[in-house]
Amino acid sequence: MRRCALSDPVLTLSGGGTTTIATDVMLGDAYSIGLIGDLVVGVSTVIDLAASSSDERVTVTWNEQLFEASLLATDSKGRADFISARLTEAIAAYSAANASATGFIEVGSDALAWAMGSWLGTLPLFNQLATYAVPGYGLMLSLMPDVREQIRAHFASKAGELAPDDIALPQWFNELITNPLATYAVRMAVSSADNGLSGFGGDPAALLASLKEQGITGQAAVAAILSMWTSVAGVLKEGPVKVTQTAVEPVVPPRNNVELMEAFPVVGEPGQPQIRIDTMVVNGETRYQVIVGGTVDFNPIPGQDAFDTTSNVAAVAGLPAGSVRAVELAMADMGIDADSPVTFVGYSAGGIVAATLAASGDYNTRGVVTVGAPVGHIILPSGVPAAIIEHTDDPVPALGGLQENSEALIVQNQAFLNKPIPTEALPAHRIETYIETASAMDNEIALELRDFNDAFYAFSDGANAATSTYYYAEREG
Amino acid sequence: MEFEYQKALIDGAVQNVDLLVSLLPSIPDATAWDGLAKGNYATELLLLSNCLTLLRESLAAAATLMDAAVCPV
Repeated sequence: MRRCALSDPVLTLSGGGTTTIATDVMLGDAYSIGLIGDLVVGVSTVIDLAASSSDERVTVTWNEQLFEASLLATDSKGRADFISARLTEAIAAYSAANASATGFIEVGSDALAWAMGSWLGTLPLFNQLATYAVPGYGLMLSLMPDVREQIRAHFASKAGELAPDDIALPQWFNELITNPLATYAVRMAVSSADNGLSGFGGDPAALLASLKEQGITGQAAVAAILSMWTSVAGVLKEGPVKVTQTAVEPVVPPRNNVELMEAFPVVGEPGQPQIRIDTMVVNGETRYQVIVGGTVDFNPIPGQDAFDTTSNVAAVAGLPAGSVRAVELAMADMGIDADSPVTFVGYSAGGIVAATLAASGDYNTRGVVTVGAPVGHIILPSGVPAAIIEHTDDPVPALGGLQENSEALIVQNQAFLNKPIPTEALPAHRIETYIETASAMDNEIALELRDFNDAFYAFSDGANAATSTYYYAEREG
Repeated sequence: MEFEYQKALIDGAVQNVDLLVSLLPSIPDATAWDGLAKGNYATELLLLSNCLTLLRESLAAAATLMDAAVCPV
């Protein structure tokens, strides 16, 4: 982890293929002090040369002065080398301690979740539930259409489209979850959810074992089970989607992180496009940038908009989510194939889509950026500029569980450090807040960020005749 | 070696030490760093800073003596 104290707000960087975990301040200090040790040798050489003069004007006092300077230069060299070596040791020790602590917490959390589930599974009530609940629930819903319809009607009556701005949270809850400790707890809980369910025993454990054989584990497995259970009642039930091109307009492709975040489609009302695909020609090559917005509808009953809770749960489960399929359709409509150079950018739920498509291996991915997205469990491709941008007090990225990416650059910032928490729901998740972080990223001098910025924006550098094509994704039927 | 050339070397060395002093990191919050640096990092840094300051003063004094030798008052 690297802390870049040269900017405000303070960004924390990690990943990027590095194995050493240390603060940027420590690394910078070790380098500077090491440099002092090296350069002071040159000063010593100069002093020795000057002291060897046989000129008659050389006085005893002068020689004594130079002798003293020579001793001080030697002393400076020794001290600089000592400090630099101790700092390097400290960085190594800190890295090891940090890795051990993270591993210990992770293992401990998994074990605790398993033990809790196991204990619950021994209680008669839960034991019966584990044994009969899953098949019983499915059987009941399939044999009793009325019950199924009642459950569906219950959810459907709660809302039509449940847009992000329709969600109101009590301020005490808002303040509780806009906190790095709370989001970390969410991260741990999500990552350990499968262990809890496994410890529960019975059919959940059997389902998990079956999913594990297919390579689906962790929160993806739990999301898959949730999706399976609830879809019987029409809740979180996936179905076909279609996309409609809504607009084509000339554009200057984003040239920095602020412009990139300002490029996300503004969603909120049904009918507004959630997908933007920029087409540009660079050095005679046609390139594409796919920019995907966040969740439009939070109702667990799928409605019109394909960017909904159903898509989100399916995407986390690694199932063919409506939102992912919609972006694939839009890309196909644009003529993007496996050879077309493309970058993926996504905010929130759009980040899951961007990460999923980039990780799929189905495209010629040249870069990927996710913003405030739960993508800890999706391994982004290596060898291309990739950044995961998240606020440590935003609980949404925490829903992706513990971060499993080590190659991608992970940029973290506490959005409301020493600031009052606003009253709107999930303030640290809002795109306006992320734009502030983007501004800090653009002004950051840390080498990793500069390298990322240079590499990612080189993709569209020199683009001419660029256009943005917008698509609206909706569910059919 | 020419005396004037040697003087130029010393003048250059003074400037070099100025550069080294400018490279010194600021002294951090000792509480946060002591445990990590396995020693009192802040104190070590202060000692190095003092050492470089004395080195600069010593070289500057030598340069002044050389000035006096080249252009006796």
